Parts: sequence; C-alpha cells; structure tokens
Amino acid sequence: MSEKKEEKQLSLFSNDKHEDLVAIFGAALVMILVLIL
Amino acid sequence: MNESTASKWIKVLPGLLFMFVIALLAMGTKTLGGEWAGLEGWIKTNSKFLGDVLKINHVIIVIIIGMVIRNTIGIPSWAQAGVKTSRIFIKMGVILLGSLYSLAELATLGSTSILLIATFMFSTIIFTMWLGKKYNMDPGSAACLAAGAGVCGVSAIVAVAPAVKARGEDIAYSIATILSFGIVCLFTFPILGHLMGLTPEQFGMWAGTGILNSGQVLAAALAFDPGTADVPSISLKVGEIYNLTRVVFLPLVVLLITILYARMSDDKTVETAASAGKTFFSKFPLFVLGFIATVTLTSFGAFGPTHPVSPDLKAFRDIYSWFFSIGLTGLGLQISFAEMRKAGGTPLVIGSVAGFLKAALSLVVVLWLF
Repeated sequence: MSEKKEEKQLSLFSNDKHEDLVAIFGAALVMILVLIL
Repeated sequence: MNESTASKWIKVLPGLLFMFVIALLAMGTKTLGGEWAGLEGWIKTNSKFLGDVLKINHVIIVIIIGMVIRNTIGIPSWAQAGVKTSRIFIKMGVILLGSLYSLAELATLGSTSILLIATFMFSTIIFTMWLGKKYNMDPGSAACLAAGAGVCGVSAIVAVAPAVKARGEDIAYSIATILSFGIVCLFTFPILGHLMGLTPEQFGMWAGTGILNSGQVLAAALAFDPGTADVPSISLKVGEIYNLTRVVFLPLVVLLITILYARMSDDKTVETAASAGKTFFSKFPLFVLGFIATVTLTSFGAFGPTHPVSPDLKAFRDIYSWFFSIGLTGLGLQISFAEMRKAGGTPLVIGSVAGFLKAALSLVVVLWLF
C-alpha cells in the first residue's frame, strides 16, 4: 500500500474543512457540558 | 455514522490515551484536583537552571518527550491513528481560548496584528520568490518555500502546492526546511525573550509574527509564559491573535503566490479570475469562525463575568491547557529527524535566510513600536 493511501486510511478527517467543523462541534460540546455540570 | 467511520473513531482512542498520559506526566494532576506537580514541578524543585533560567515547563517537556519517542522507538502502531488527530485538540483549544477576549480587545489587537502580519508576510513571500529566482530554483519549489516562510508553515505549503504544480520532492524539501527552522525558533525564542527581558505582550507579538508554524507559535508563547486559570498567559493571548491573523490571510496568500508563480514560470494556465474566488473560499479556515463566536459569547456574558472570572470561564482555561498539551504532544510525536534531513541545498539556505530575516526584523519592529 502506498504511503499516501495508508495516511488517508489512518486519517479521521477527509480534509481541513471537515477537521475544522469537528473542532467547532467538539468545542461547543465542551462549553455546553461545562455550563450544564 | 457508517461502520467504517465508527471504526476509525474507535481506532484513534489508544493514541489519544497515549498523548493524554504523556501530557499528564508533564503537567501533573493539580488542574485535575490532585496534588502531584508532574515533571514540570519536579524540574522546578530540582534544577534552578532548567526551571528558573531556561524556564522549562510542561509545554517544552511534552514536545521533547514526543520527539524522543518518535526518533528512538517510534510511535507504536496502535497509537498512530490517534496521534494524527492531535491538530484537532489545538483547534478546539484555540476556539476555547476565545473566552479570554472581549470584542473590543479583539478589535484593538486585530488592527495592530493585521498591519504587522501583512507587512511581514507579503514581504517575506516576495523576497523568498525573488531569492529563489536569483538562485535558479524551480518556480514551484520557490513558491512552496515562500508560502511556508511567509504564512503558516506546513498548511500553507500544502495549500499552495497544487496551484503551483509543485513536485513531491519540492513539497518535502519545503516542509523539512520550514519545520527544521521552526524547531530552532521554538526552543530559542522563549530563552532569547527572557534574556532580552521582553514583556509578555512583546513576546506574543514577536512569536506570532516571527515563528512560521501555528503549533510552534502556541508552544513558544506558552513556554515563555504558561499562565494559570487565574492569571492566563498574556503572551499566548497576544501571540494567538497574530497567529490567527496569519491563518486568515492564507487564502489571499495562495492567490498571490499563484500569480507570482505564473509570472516566474510563464505558465498562463494556473489561475484565472474565475477560479481565484473559488480558491479564496476553499482555503478559508473555518475554525477561526468558532473562535470569533466564543469571543462574541464571552463579550455578551454568556459564560458569566470576566472580572472576577466566573467558574465556567476558569474551567474553560483548564480545559484548553489540557487540549494544548495533548495537541503539542502530538506535534512532538510528529517531528522526525529523518524527515528533516530531507532539507538541504539551496531551499534550506533560502528558507533559513528568509526565516531568520523575518524573525530578526519583527523583533526590531516590536521593540521599536511597542
């Protein structure tokens, strides 16, 4: 398997936009949990 | 969520735990309600030189542990998928960091940072491409190097590469050069900053302008002034605004470099006016919008008062410290000396000259103006 293919399989995010959206969602979830708890 | 996405999320867990354990070893358990001060506390108690003179703290410790593991035994195969997600912790940390600012502060810091960043970024890009042309570098290679030296390191190189038709080895050379230079900055900037008696504000401006890679700006700012939940790091607060300003400029930089490349290489097929707008929006870093949303919510009191600071805001500060430590552990684990040895020849010389001039001149400007 080529290095690039292997890298793609290991990566959780398809691109930077995907990673940014997950980061925004994750941070919002943390804020909500802090406010609730 | 389909099965393959779910299994990918499960695969990252061991690596996340691995990075968390390294961060815990460095930070100790004090912010988790325990008493243990971690390796940072041990160094402060046992070595005056490392603790008080070199100001070694958990940020430098996690990066060094990561680098040692990567370059000796290597990242265990079960942890590799998790380590690759470390950048998301830095992005989530930056979004939570927005709780340190008010909209008024953001406007003040933002206006000075735009001026300083734009001046240094665009002059570095033009200088690097000019130097590349003078020393007969391949235009694609010079364009990648200019992106790395001018804006935000690796992401800029990766963003520019397709537009300037860079070859695989051009990308590898540029990344290796920028990362090698950045590692030197990461360790020397905080020491130089303390030796020169810079204020945390001055250091934040200098690191945010002079260091090439986002993670390294964060690490240097926290190494200089780690801060606590009660007294947050000023150098981080200032440095991160400069860093984000640079990141926001990325789409514009891709556009400028593509135009310069077309002129250098006489390649008229690379960028048309119609695709220019598309490039601009496709490269915009969305997580910055999350940061601005947090600043806005904090300004309107959604998380309680800032003076004295509310328990919720204090909790955010503790959480982003952990996110940054985990993210920077990942940064250390991804620094490979074998990869850095790929740098060499003309790209290394030109990249280092451009990086050094940017670092030295930005220090002079910061000391002169602020």
